[in-house]
Amino acid sequence: MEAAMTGDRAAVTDEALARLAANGDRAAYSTLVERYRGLAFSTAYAMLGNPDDAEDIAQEAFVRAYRTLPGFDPQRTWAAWIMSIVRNQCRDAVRRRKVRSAHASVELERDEVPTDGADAIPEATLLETERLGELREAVAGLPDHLRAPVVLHYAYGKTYREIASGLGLPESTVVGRLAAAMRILRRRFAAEVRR
Amino acid sequence: MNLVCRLVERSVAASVARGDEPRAAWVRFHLKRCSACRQVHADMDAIRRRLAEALDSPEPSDAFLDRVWAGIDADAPAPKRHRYAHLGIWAATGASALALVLAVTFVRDGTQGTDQSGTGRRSAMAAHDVASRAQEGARQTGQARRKAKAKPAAEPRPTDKIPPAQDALIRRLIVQRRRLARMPTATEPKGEARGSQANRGRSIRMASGGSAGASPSPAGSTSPAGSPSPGGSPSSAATPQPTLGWVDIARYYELQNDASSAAYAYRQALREKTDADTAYAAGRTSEAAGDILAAVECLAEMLAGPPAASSTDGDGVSHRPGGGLGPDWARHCSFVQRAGVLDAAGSRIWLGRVPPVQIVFRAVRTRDEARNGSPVFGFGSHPGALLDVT
Repeated sequence: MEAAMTGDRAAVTDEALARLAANGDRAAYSTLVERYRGLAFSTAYAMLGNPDDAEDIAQEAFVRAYRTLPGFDPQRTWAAWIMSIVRNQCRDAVRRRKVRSAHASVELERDEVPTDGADAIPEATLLETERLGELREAVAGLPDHLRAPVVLHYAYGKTYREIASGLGLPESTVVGRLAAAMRILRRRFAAEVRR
Repeated sequence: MNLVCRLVERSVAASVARGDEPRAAWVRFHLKRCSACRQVHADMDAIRRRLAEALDSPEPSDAFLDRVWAGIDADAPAPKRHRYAHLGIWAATGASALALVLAVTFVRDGTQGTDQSGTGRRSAMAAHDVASRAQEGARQTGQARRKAKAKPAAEPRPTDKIPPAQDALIRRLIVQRRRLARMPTATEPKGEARGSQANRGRSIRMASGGSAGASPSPAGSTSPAGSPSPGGSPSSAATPQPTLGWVDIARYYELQNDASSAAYAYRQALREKTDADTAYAAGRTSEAAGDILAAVECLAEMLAGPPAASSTDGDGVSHRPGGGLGPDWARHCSFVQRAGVLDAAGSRIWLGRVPPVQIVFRAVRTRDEARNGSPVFGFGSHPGALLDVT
């Protein structure tokens, strides 16, 4: 607390910063946002698959968290609290998105790849790009509960502890889901990866 | 693949997920002997290496923090924590029990006529006061905890009315609008200032002299209300009176993420004036608020909007005269646009899951057909069957 008052916020715990922010210390809350914006954004991106939506969700989560700071339970960790808000926001967004998703898949299928200058690209590069694109689509097609750990681990390099914190799961469950995702991907891409 | 190989596959998948080699001795032993399982291991390892290359990892924008503060500042200040909130529910219960004991003691003393009754009364009153405050604090804490723990990001439940507690926010908006418009400060009628139930169904008049019971103003942005109010003075009838339309109120609630109130306000605006913009906004916000039936109703109203005889949209596609689609459909209704791009006859749009509601497009033609002179859109086989809602 003393450190926070003197401006050395790096050494202050999240919960102490949250208490300061609840008392009107905007700088303390800014520090909290800076600490967790990466995890909040990447978790939202992993759950939603769209960076714009993820940014909106993460920002809204921090706004809501500030609004409800007086209700923050000191017994809980700030990380668990803010990430639970992010996850709830994401679930709501997914629910809203499902309402409008009837034609979304059709729209994705019809997205055209720009062909300008494609002749100049070596065929091997094109093939590799195509395979990576297929792998990306396969990851996007994973069930939500499997896709999120995969994106967080392989795209963002998050540790299991961070993923567990972000998704509100035990670390063993994170490893189990990554393994399940790996088995699904292998069944689909076994032939491609051997080429 | 036998049972052992399946177990090995699981173990290998877990080890690849962890980023290390299989730990169990029997798995390593099996891998040395089984070429199929070695291949599984190699495949998974290759996929793991490619995943990092294939997946994007976008980062939040630099303006992230600024936008968070903008969102916070646009909202009301955070509520103050109650003085006794930290005591919690147990302290509240204990204080209540103490108050009860003291009260019983006081009653006994009072009936016995001793001179300790005054002390007992004061003690009981003090204890009761502490208990009440503690209970209030615990109640606030409990509400905040439940809100944060259960579903902090929950959408508001659909309602038919703007919650009375939101009236103050509306009034704040009115003050802001007045300042923006540099209107002369005026005193509003008391009935309206209280945000009475009767006034919620009407537009909110900004200038003085306008009766609270005035006729609804046209929805939209601030605009002169030309019609004199029934209860207003003659001078007020002559003076242009800017009003705050339902659409303004709805937009305000949208900014506040209050989908229910926004939907209600948009629907009120729709009653005053039917146009595609408002109908679509009403449908969209009703949908967001979970009021699926209202959403379908509003979207259907948009689709059934004023016909556009020989109108042409941005893609040069002419609409069938009397077809029931307004000229702005492509700009406002994205799913209809997609349905138009594709041959979506018979395609279904699901609105929500509980209750399941779907809109079936019966005879949507492609744009190519439109260019060949065929009708672009025809929903249903008769004029009344615009949508098939089940």
